[in-house]
Parts: sequence; structure tokens; C-alpha cells
Amino acid sequence: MNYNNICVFDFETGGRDPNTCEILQIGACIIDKWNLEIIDEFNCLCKPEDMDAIEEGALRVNKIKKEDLEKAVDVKIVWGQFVSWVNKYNKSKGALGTFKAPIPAGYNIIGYDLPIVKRYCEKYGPWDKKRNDQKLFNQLHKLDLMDHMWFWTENNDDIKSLKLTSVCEWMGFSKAELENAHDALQDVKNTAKILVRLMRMSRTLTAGNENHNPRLQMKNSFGNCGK
Amino acid sequence: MENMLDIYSIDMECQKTWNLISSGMTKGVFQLESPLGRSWAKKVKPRSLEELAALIALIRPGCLKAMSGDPPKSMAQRYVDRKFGEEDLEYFHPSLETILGSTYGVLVYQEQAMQMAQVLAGFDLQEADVLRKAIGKKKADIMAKVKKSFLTGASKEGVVTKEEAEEIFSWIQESQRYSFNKSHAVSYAKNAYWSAYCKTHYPHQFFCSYLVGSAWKQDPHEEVQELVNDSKIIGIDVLPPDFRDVKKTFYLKDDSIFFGMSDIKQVGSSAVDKISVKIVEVEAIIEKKVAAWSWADYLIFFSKNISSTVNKALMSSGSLDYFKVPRNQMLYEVELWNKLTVKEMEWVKGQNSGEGLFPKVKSWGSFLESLIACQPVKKEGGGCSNSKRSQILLDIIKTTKNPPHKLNDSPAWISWAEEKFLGAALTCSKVEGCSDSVKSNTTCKEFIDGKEGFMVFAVEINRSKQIMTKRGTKMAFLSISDSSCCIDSVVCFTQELEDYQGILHEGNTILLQAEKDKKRGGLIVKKAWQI
Repeated sequence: MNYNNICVFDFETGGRDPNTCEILQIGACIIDKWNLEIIDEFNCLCKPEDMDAIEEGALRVNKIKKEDLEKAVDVKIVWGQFVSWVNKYNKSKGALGTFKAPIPAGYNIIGYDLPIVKRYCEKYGPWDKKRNDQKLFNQLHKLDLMDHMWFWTENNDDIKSLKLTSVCEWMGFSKAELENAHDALQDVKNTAKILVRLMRMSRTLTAGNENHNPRLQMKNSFGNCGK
Repeated sequence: MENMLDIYSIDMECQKTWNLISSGMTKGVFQLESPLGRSWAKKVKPRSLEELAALIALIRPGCLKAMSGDPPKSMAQRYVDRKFGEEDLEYFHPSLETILGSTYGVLVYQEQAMQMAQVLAGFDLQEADVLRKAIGKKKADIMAKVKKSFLTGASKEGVVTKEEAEEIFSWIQESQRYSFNKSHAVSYAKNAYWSAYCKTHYPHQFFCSYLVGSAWKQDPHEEVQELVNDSKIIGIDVLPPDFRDVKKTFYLKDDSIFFGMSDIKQVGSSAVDKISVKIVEVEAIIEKKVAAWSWADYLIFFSKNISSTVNKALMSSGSLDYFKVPRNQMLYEVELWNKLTVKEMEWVKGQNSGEGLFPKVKSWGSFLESLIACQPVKKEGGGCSNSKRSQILLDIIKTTKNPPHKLNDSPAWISWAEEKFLGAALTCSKVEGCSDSVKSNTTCKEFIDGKEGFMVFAVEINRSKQIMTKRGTKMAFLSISDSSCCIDSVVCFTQELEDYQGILHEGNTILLQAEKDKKRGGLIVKKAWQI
């Protein structure tokens, strides 16, 4: 049983390469592990260190204007605030460790957002020198919803692609929820909604209910399938 | 000193004290403070020193394990059943009535074995003492010798037959596993009564001193939690530390118990000493007593005097709640304040204490105002040494005005922070943050005070322990709490556990439909819902 909170997060960036791009917006929310409700949100535009490194194509995708970035708060300060905010939900009783830190979750985070987290943690902290890794989130678990959705849709032709908007559409999200795609906080909220649906579905299937229906269990649910 | 309690002259027949012991509210009562002591105090319901001594002797491990009779029962259970007429009291031999009468025919004390040897086998005091030693030291070789003399003596005395003497001696022999010295039990009982008397008549002082003593317990965290819960049941408020009082450990004020500052985790005794020195210094600078400080005064003049760890601990624990600023806002602003350079901080302090450019401004009242004043470079009348610093301050101002997240305190966060820094949630419960908690119709305190019938609780699960039943199925024992208090005897039987085990976990908040366990006095889980 894992008691950690879950932090769904998303970065809007100024480029495609997670090893070099600048963060332009941080969106995140915390999901209570038990009731699966969003208990806190974080949303901030950041002024990047190098404005010239921002790709026009990136700005077209995330619809962030350069003049808004000029007025935004320096990324170093925002990163510090993001770290403090995530740490608020770290359940370590004493000094902060990663074992009880929130579990990072998001859409395509393993390939994109987590390498950025690692890079910014190395630059601005918190950095785990011993493991050469970020020290902000749980180091053991990571929930990449794109992988989870592959699992749930791998034999389904109804879904167009595994892009976040396609998945949201397929899952019947409202028009308003789909309109603001590529706004960090809206993407985070949509991703959180997918995650919560999957968790609720799993809980419903595996938990007993008032009518004492037999629970679906890994060891007995599908027979041995002969394998 | 005229209010000093003379413990030797208290009323030993105080009904309120006996009621407290019999109700099992014996946390902190000598020898009866463990869950075992509390549950057996409820079962035995002692009303005299004699019965209290028997209770203390009966709940020792040997006595609880020693089973006898058909069906087999522990000595303690036999005592309870006979006391309340659940089992007939018959003496094996009429001569035993005077010896075992006070303990309902149960051989509890070594002294009773000695008396039996005197009456039945004609032992003199010296021989009886050898028997006591054999029982006490559990020496089989001495016991074998004593048995011989017992049987010889019994046949000479002729009070009981040879077979009866052998049977009675077998009890004595068996009793060496558990029996207790009566004089010891009575002195324990007296101590137990004294502490129960203090708890009944001086509950504030009782809890305060036990909370002070929690630091020396094996698990101080658990001890604090149990004492805080117990004090809630009695109706005594235990509150977070108050920065204005600068007390090191638990103290009493206005009929409430306050945590001391060194009772906060990560705040040591030397940190409290430093705090008290620095408060005096800052009071002199801003010409304001600590009780009159605003949050901006604390932030600008005081916060930098102590480490950020101590600052965080003070804010998170609620020690600075008198500023009436959300704890999360304080944590947020202190972090921003620490981004200023020492010179910028000094500039702000100088302006604020009336020595600088704005002597009329005694206080800006808010952190934001002081930042706005400091933001221009020096030649423009501000406190920044260059434009780069000025830009950083501008960012800090922006982020103070528009924080990237909410700065309010949710009940879930407050209760978590208080548990982390103080060992117990004092000002609220995680449950208060759950909207569905309104669907409950009973609080834990209402149940403890006697409510029965259809009960739905909105609670947090503090502890959950699963065990295997004799049939090989699982059941669970839970401890639940809301802001009123905690109930630590909640049973969840197999079927309900199967239905709801996905949510019956420590830390979770649930709606719980339960009914009173008429036999054991706790609750039995019927239904549960996630909230």
C-alpha cells in the first residue's frame, strides 16, 4: 500500500528538446491519494533565462506571448516556489526525503518533463548527488499516463492517437476542457482527470461492494489463460 | 503553597475516582495506563483498594496466560465472571472460603498460598515463607521439598483428605507461574488510586505534567497523541505553542494546556533560549512588546534571527497563529523575504524603525508595502544597490501579489503539519476538509458519552491492524478519530473487511456506519464510504 500524494505536472517550454529547452510555464496539481480529489494547484508563467532561445514554433503551440514572458517572474524564483510547494506535500516526518515525496504523474513525462525536472533540479536544486538524480519527487514511482493509455487502448480502433487531446476526446471530456489544450494547468487538469478515472475504475473492479460480489483479483480474474 | 495537595490525606472512598477507574479512562494512571490495563479496568470495575490490588495482580502476563477449569478461562476472566455473577462461586473446600473469599475464589496472591499452607498443612510462618520464596523465585527443587512437607502436614492436620491436599497443592504449584505478592499489589493499587484521584480532581495539572513527562517515554509521539485524545474526552483543550509566552515545555494558561516551544520537533532547547533573547532585543528596537507585534514586525525584524528550519517549525505548528495570517502565507512570505540581501533587509528595517528616510512610518503593516518601498535603486530613494537587484525585487513583489498557488490553510494540511511538528493534530481534523463529512450524525465524543442507535461517523483512520481468526479469515481492529476525540476499539469483522478493505487504511478519511459492541463497549463496523 502506497500512501504518497500524487503530483500531476506539465511544463510548457520554449523548444522541443528536453535537454536544452527553457521552461515557460509550470502547471501542477496535487491529488489526494485517498479520495482522489485535487487538493491544490500551481500555475505560473516564467521568464526564461535566454529569451532568444525560445522557438517561435513552441510559442505557436502553447499560445504564450513573448510580451507576457517579458513581464513574468524569473524562472529561478518560480522554480524555488514550485519546489517549496511540492515539498509541502512530501509526507516525510523528519528531514525531507524522496521516499515519501509526491509521485510524479503527467502525460509523456518519462520522455519529456522528467528529464527537464532533472536538469532544473541539478541547476537550482534539490539535487541528489549520491544518486545523480532529482530530489523533488518520488524516485521510485512515476506515472506516465501516455503509457497507461497505451495499455487501455492497445486493441481499440476508436481512438485516433495517443495525443492528450485525442485521449480526452475519446474519454468524452467537455468542449471547454478541450479548448485550452497546451495551457499547462489545463493539460494538468485533463491528465489528472484521466488518472482519477483509471484509479476509480481499478478500485471499483478490485474492491468488494455492499452486495458481497466477488472481487476481481489478478490471481483469479482471467483464469490462467492457459499460460 | 497552601493549595498543595497532601496525597496522604485524600479521600480513599471518592466515588468520582472509582467511576473514572471503572470507566477505563486510565491513561496515565499508574499500572493501568496500557490498553490492557484500560480494558481490564472496565471489565473488573474495582470499587475498593482490595479490588484494585486484585486487578493489578490479575493483569500481569502470567496470570492472563494461566488457564484453568472447563471451559478454560484466564484467572482474570474467572475473577470478573464470578464478581458479576456470570459464574457460580463454589469453593473446593469450605476451609478455603476465608482465604480466597476476597478474590472470588481465585488464587491471586502468594500470601493466599502461604495462608493455605498454614491452615491446611499446619505450616509455621518460617515454613510458609519458604513456600513463598519457592513460588516467588520459581524454584522447582525447593517446591518439590515443600510439597512433601505440605502433604505430610495436611495428613496430620486432617482438615482435607490426601487427594484434596494434592489437588490444592497442584494449584499452589501452578500459581508459581503467575501469583503476585499482595503487599506489592496493594502499594501499586494505592499509587494507582492516587494518580486516578489527581486525574479526576486536578485534570489540567495531571495532563500537563504527564505531557511534560512524555519526552521520556519510549515513543513520545504516541504518548502525546494518547494524552491529547484523553484530555479531549475530558474536555480540556490542548493547544499549539504560543510564541508570545516563550515557554520551553507544556504549560497551563486560562484552563488550557499549551505546548512549549521545545516540544515542537526541530526546535531544540537552545533555539528557545535564543528566541527569548532575540525577542527582548527586537522589542527594544521597534519599541513594541511581542504581544503587540504584527506579522510584518516578526518577518522583518525577527525571522532572520533564527534558522529557517525553526521558522518553518514555528509557523507550521501554529505558534504564530496570533498574527491571524494563514500559516501557508507566512511560510511563503518568509521564503521571499530570505531572497533579499542583508543590505536590503537592513534598509527595510531602518525605514521601519524610524531611523531612515521615512521616520514617520512606524510600520508598513504588510510585507508587500516594505518590498515596494525597497524596490527602487538607492539613487531613486529605494534600497537596491543596482538595477539587477531591483529587477529581482520586482519579481518578488509580483509573486507576492499573485502567488502561483493558494495560500490558505486546508484542515488536511493543518492536521498533517501539527502531527508532524507536535505529534498530534490539535486545532482541527483532516475530516473537516471533506465535504461529505456533513453526512455524519455522530461524533466520537458523542459515542463515548453514551450515544447509541443508528450512528454514522466522519472519521480519519489512525490505526488499522488486521489479524487472522481461528477460522483462517481476516478481521481488523481500527482506531478512528475526528476533531472531538478518538475511539480505539473499533472491530471490523471478516465480511465487512472484505467489502471495505480498499478504504480501511491508516490515514484515510471515511464515513463509517457502525453500531455499539454491547459486549466489549466499542464499535462494530457495518458500512464504510470514502469521503
